[in-house]
Amino acid sequence: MIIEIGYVGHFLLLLGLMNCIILLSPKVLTNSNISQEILFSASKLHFPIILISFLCLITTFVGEDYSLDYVSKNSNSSLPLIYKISAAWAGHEGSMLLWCVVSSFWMFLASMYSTNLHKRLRVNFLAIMGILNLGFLLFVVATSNPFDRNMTIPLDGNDLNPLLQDFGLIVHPPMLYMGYVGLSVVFSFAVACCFEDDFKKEWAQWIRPWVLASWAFLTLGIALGSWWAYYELGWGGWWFWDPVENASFMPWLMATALLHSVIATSERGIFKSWTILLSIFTFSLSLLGTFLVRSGILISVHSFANDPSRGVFILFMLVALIGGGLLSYALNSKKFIDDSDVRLISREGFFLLNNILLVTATFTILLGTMYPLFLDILGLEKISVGVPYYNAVFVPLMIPLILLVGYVPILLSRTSIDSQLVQLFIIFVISIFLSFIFSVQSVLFFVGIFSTVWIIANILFDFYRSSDNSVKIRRRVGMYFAHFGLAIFIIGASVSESNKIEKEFTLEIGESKKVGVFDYRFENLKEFKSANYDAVIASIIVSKDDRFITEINPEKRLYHSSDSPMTEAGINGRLDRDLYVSLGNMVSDNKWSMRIYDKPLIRLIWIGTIFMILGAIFSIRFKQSKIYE
Amino acid sequence: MRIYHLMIFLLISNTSFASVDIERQYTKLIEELRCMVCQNQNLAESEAPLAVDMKEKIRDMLEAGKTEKEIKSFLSERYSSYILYDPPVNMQNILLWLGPFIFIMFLGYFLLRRYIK
Repeated sequence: MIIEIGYVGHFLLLLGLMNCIILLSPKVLTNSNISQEILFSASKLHFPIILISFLCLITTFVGEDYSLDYVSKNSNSSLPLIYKISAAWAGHEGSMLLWCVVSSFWMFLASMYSTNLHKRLRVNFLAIMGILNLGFLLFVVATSNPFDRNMTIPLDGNDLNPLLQDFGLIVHPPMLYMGYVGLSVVFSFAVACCFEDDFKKEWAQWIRPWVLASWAFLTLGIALGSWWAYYELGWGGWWFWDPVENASFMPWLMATALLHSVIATSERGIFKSWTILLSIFTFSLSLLGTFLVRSGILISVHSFANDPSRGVFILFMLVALIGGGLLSYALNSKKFIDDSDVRLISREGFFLLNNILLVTATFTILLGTMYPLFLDILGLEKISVGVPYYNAVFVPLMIPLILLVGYVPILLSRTSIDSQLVQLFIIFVISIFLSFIFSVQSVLFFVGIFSTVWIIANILFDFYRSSDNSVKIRRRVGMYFAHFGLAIFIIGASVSESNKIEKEFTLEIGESKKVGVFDYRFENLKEFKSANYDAVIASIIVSKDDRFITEINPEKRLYHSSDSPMTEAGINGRLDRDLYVSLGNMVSDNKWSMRIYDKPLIRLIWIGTIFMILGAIFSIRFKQSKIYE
Repeated sequence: MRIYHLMIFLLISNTSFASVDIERQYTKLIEELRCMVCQNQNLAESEAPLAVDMKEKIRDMLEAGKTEKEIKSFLSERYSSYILYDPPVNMQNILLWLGPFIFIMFLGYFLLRRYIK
């Protein structure tokens, strides 16, 4: 009886709520050994409860149980199985339940791996995670319950938003949430440390893998989102400074700052109170991002699912959690005394500069995202903050940061001034050589190329110099991977932006047009019927000097449930360039408008992020044997 | 097929530009202007009928020798400065433009003074 499963899922949510309340017993009842043991067990038990509830939701989707309102709104019987499953987290209610699953999973891990912390810290830490889980779950049950029932049961469901019927969007939300919510572990730990006498080096060491893991997931989530936007929206762009993208980018920048400052705290016992403050703010920005996206306060390309009435609940939670965290910090920050001082030109000094630049960059994005909202609320003239603003304020902050990144290997290996100058000379020669290859036309573009060479060459010089010292290399390999990834990303972003060719024109079947060095011939147009959409697929033959290069097949789809056609870009992706064709409108029977983009090196943007993620993975080192008293 | 009926029939008059320079200006301009009927898209990305008309208008103005600045002020007078992705520097937006500068001074002063010997 498939019908019952919805009730089981609903019941488990309520059970989860009870479990969270029981979890808090050492805090609300007595802080005895027994209640502490209850807390430790409940913090583990929460994950299976919520996970099974979520599996129930998926089952109702697969079983086409349209007695559930959420299922009937986001799925229908003609949807392929994979999208029936992923539809479970495609809408607001389901994705909030996914958030709860991820949150319970992190609490499970936190409970499993915190046995080496001393008891009071562990109890406080898990209790704060319990409060967070309680809050999220309460939000789902009270305002966004995916198990709510329909008054009348429809024969078939609506449909999954066609934009979301895509592999990228199946994996993007879980990865992003793993990152967002992973930061709640860091937040809870930081707040728990506020109630201790000191923030010990060992504790900073304990939290570091959690920061790195969350950061890696966040990076992956954002990269997947940007990749999806690139091939699915049909505009050839990969980052739009859309408020929803900004909502994920802000915690990422803060987490990047944090993963540097936490190294200084764990190794030298400095920046203690700053690291705690940063931890609190980083997760606060994750929450703020969720608030912005989920409350419907932003209307933008990404907001598919929102309901303004929920905003009040999230806003309240936001104020309570951030306020609580900051209050705990403010009352206790005086007692954190750093073990030593810092010089500006040192690794720790660089961490500080990195933090200043990254936090300012975050603030800039926050300002750009919130300012139009504030003007709107105050009833002043509406404005739009977009690419030109961020180019003017964000990019200048990144340039000094990148120069610092490139200088790190020189700093660490204490290279003499003479060889520094030789290195700089070689780097300039290579940069100028590359500038000719890519026919550089602007200063900013040259800065991009120089930065890439600057970072990569300095890393290679250091590898060359310390090739006999494997311990040193092993210690630095994570950092070098991440910084190398950044360099690859920069060259991809700057070359694809500066040397892109974008044309929009109409083409008749049989006609051809030259864009850049390639000829594009509009060969034919085929019709295609799928289970839940009809499509026309164009065949574009690309050739160079009459030599066949490739065939590109852009599509226009019309989903049965929707009246607006969807564009599926056709992409011929290679390491050195992407040829990108997207169909526009039909002008007459055999004539279509289309956009043809030639984007050199654009793939390096995502390849760069893969290196960054690998860097984070290589840097994760658990030292489980130690007891952090 | 239903797909054909729903396609909007648009007539795009001439697709070649008078000069490469004008084409470059045009491409840059349509990326910095907002489509007024879409959620958050620039004119370059949008295929909405209003956006297509506006692009046509911008192209005509460029070919008539109007500068980028003239076109922007023409459009923002007509549609309010909401159309500009580059918000104007005025009293209302002063904090938007100066905010990052003030912030970095404040944060830099606070952190460097506290931690640097």
